[in-house]
Amino acid sequence: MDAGNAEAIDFHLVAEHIRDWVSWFAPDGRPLWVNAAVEDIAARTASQCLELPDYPVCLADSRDRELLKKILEDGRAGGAGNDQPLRIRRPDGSLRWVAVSWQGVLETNGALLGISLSMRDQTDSLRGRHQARYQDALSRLSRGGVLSQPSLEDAFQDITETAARMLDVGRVGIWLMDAERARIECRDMFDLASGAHTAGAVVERERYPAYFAALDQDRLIAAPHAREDPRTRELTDDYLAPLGIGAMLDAPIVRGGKTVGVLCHEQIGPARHWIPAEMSFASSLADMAAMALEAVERRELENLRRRLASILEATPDFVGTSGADGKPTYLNPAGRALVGLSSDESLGGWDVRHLYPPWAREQRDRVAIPTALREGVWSGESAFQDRFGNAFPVSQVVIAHKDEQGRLNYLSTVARDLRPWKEAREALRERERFLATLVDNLPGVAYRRRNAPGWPMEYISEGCLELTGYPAEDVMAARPYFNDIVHPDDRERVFAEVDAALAEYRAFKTEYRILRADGSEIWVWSKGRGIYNEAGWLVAREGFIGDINDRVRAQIELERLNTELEARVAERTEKLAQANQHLEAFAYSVSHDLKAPLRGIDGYSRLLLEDYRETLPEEGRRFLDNIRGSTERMNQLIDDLLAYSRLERRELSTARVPLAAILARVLSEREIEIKFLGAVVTTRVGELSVLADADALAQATRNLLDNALKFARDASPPRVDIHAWAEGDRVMLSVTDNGCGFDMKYHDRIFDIFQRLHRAEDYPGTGIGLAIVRKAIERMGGGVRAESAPGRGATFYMELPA
Amino acid sequence: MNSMRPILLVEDNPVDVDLTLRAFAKRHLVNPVQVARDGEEAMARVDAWEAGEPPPLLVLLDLKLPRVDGLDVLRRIKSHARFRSIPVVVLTTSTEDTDMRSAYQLGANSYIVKPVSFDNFMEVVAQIELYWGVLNLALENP
Repeated sequence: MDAGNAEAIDFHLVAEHIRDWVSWFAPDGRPLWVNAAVEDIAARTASQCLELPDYPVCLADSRDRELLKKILEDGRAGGAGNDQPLRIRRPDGSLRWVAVSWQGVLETNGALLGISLSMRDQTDSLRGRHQARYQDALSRLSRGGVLSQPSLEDAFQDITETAARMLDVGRVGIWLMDAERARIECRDMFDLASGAHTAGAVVERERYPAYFAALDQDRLIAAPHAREDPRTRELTDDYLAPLGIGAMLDAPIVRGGKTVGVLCHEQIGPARHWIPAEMSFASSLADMAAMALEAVERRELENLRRRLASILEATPDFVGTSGADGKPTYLNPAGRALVGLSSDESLGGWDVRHLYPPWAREQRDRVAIPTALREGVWSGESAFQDRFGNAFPVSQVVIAHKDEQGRLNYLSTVARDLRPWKEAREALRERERFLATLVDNLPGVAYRRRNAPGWPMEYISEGCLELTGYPAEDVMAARPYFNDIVHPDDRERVFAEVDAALAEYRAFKTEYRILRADGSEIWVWSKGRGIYNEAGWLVAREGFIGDINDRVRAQIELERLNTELEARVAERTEKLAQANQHLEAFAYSVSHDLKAPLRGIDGYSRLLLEDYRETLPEEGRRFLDNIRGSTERMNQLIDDLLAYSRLERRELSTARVPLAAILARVLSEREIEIKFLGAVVTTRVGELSVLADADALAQATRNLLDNALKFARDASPPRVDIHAWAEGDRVMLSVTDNGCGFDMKYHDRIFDIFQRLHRAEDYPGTGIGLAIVRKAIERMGGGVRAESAPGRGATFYMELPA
Repeated sequence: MNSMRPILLVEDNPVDVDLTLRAFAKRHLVNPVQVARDGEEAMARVDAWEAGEPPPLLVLLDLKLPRVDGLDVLRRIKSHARFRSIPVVVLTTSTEDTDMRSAYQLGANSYIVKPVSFDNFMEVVAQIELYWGVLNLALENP
C-alpha cells in the first residue's frame, strides 16, 4: 500500500466513522466511494448508492437536483463550497435537509485528483429553525389580531396565506362543515402562485365517504401521496388530478371536541412528505381558525346578550335572578321600581322573600322552587306585594338554571302584573253581562248562526220565547229548526235576500212572517250581517229579529185604505173633470146662446126706432132705449163671465214679460176713453219685467185701469198712477186712483165674483172685473190686495214673480 | 154677370138671418142672398156648384151649425180647386181663440165676431162691402 493509498485508507477509515455523508468522486464525476453515513441520511446503503446511475443527484429532491449538479461541476472545476442547504429525498418520500460542503482536490501539479462531497444531516436542527419560524408566524398572527379581525373571512384569509407561504404549499383552504356534517364548504382558498383568494366550493360526504370518515376521526390527515392514500384517493379524478395536487395535509378545525372544518394544504406537484414541524404548524393554524370561529361566535353571543339585556331592562315585566343560595343577583328596572330600589342600589340588603305576600311566599317555597328544581321550570299564578304591602296578582315563571352536572347555578323568574289584564277582563265581563242583560230584555231576538250547512244556531237570546213561542234552548237545539219558523211563502225570498247580502259583504234587512208555536202568524223584521274572519272567510252571521206585526198590519190596512182612497179620488177627479167639461160647454153655450136673443132684441129695437119712429110716442121710444141699454149690459155681463171662465180653464204660459210693453198695450186700448174723461195717467215702471202670461197680465192690468178710471171719473181731473218696483224676487205693480175709495172692511169681498160695493147706476159694472184680476194673478203665482178709505181713493197691488 | 151673383149666408138662427138680410137691405145691397140653415144645406150648395150652378161671390159662414160644423164646410170650400178663391167670411158668436185659429188655418178670409148691437152689425156689413168690394149697391134713387 503506497503512501497515497495509505492516506486514502486512513481517510477512508476516518470517513467511515464520521456522521457526515461523505462521497469521493473521480475527476470525471464517477463516484468512487461513499461512507456508511449515507444510510442514515438517504436510507440507502453505500453499495446501493454506487450502483445508482446518477449518484448522488438522483437522491436529491427533484427541486434541488440542478443545484447538486452545479455543486459537482464546481468541484470538478476545482471549486469548493460550504454549508449549502439541500434536500435529500428518501425512498419513503420523506425529506432530509443536509448542508453540503464540497471541494475539488488538486494535485501539486494542479491536475484534478478528485472531488469530495460531504453532507451533514441538518434536518433536526433545521426543524428547530422551522419551528422557530412557525412560532414567529403564529405569534404574528395572534399579535396581528387574527382573532379580532372584523370578519371571519379576513381571519381565514390571514390564516390561509400564512400557511401557504410558511409551508410553501400551492393552495391552502379553510373548509367548514355544515350542521348535518353532510358537506364541507370552502370559506377561503389561497392560491400561492396567483396570490388570489376564492371561496364557495362544496365537497359532499355522499360522494367522498372515505375522506369524510377520515375527517370524522378528528385527526390530522397527512397524505404524502394523496392520489394513492386510501383517505384521499377518491378525490383524485374530480379534484386532485385536475388541480395537479400530489400531497395533502389536512388539519382538523376542532371545536368542543368535534371537527367543524378543515385547514387543507394542497401540494401542487409530486408527493411531499410532511415533517412533524409542518404538521404541528398546520394544527396550530387550524386551532387558530377554530379560535377565529369562536371569537366571531362569542361576539355574536355578546351582541345577543346585550340585546337580551336591553330587553330585560326595558320590559315592564318583573325579571330577576338569584343564586343557588337564594340571594338575589339581578333585578331589572321594572323589578327595582316595584320593590322601591334605585337602579344603582345594591341588592344585598333586599330579601327576595319580601316580594311575596304570605300565601304566595308559601307557594314559592313549597311548590314553585321545588318544581323548578325538579323539572327545570315552574309557571303559574302567584302574587307580589309592593313596598307598601299592597298585594296584586302576577303570572310567574320560575326557571332553575343548572350546570352540566345538574347542580343548580342560579334561579331566574319572570313575572307579569296581572292587574291590567284582570281589569280588562273584568271590564269585558261587565260588558258581556251588560250586553246579555240588554239583549235578553230587548223586545226581540238577537242571534248568531254559524256558517255550516243549515246555518246552525250558535246563540239566540231569551226574547225567542216571546217572539216565536219557542224557548231559546229549543231553537238552539233545532227543535224546531229556525228556518222552518219562517213562513213558507216568505222563505225563498228571505233566504235569497240574506244570501245576496252575505255574498256582497253588506248588511241585510228584510221583513217576513213567522209561524209562532201557537199557530199564529206575525210579521217580523230581521237585520243582520256576515261575520268574517281575518282571512275574509264568512264564519257566522249575526243579527236581530223584531216584532213589527202591529206596524205591518197597520201598514197593510193603511195601504188598503190608500188604494181605496186613491180610487175614490180618481173617481171624483174623473167626475170633476166631466163636470168641468160640462161647465165649459155650458159657459160656451151661455155666451153664444144667450147672445143670440140679445142680438134679436137689440136688432129689432133698433129697427123699431128707425123704421117706426114716427108712429111711436116719445115714451115708447124711451122704453126702446132702455131695452137697448139692458141688452148692452147683459152683453157685457156675458162677455165678462166668458172671460172669467176662459181664464179659469185656459193654460197659461210663462215668459219674461216687460211691464212697460204691457202698459203701453193697455193704455193704447184705452186711449180714447182716457182722453174723453180728461184723466191723467202716470206710469213709473222702468225696465222691470215679470214671469207671466202676457195676455192674462194685460187683462188684469186692463181691468185695474178700467176700475180706476171708473171710480175716479168724478174727480177733477181723474188721476191714475201706475207704479212698479222690485221686492226681492218679486215685482209689485200698484194702480192708484183718486176716486171715491172704499171701506177696508169690504176688502176681502171686492175680489169675489159678482161682489159690488156700489150701486150699478152709480158705477156700472158686472162685478166680475176684479175677480178676473185676482184669478189671473193667482194663476200666475202672484197675489192681489187693495188699500183704500172712503173718499180717499184706492190703491190696488199686484205681486208677481220677477 | 158678376153683379147678380149671389151671396151665400150659412146661418141657423132665423133672427140672425132676418137681421142680416135687413142690414143688407139698409146698405142697399142687391145681390141675391142664398140661405143655408145648417151645415148639411151648406154642403148641398157646394154639391150644386160642382154640378154647374154658379158659385157665390161671397160666403158668410157661421161656425156653430146643426148637423155639420161650419169648419167642415169651410174646409170643403177651401180644399176645392175651383172654389178656393171664393172669399169666406166667418161670422160667428165664438170668441174662442181655438175657433179663430182653426178658421184661419183652413183658409177663412176673415173672422168676425157677431156684434150684439145692430148698429155694430151694420158697420160689419159696411166693412165687408168696402173690403171685399164684391157687392152690388142699388142706386139710391132709381
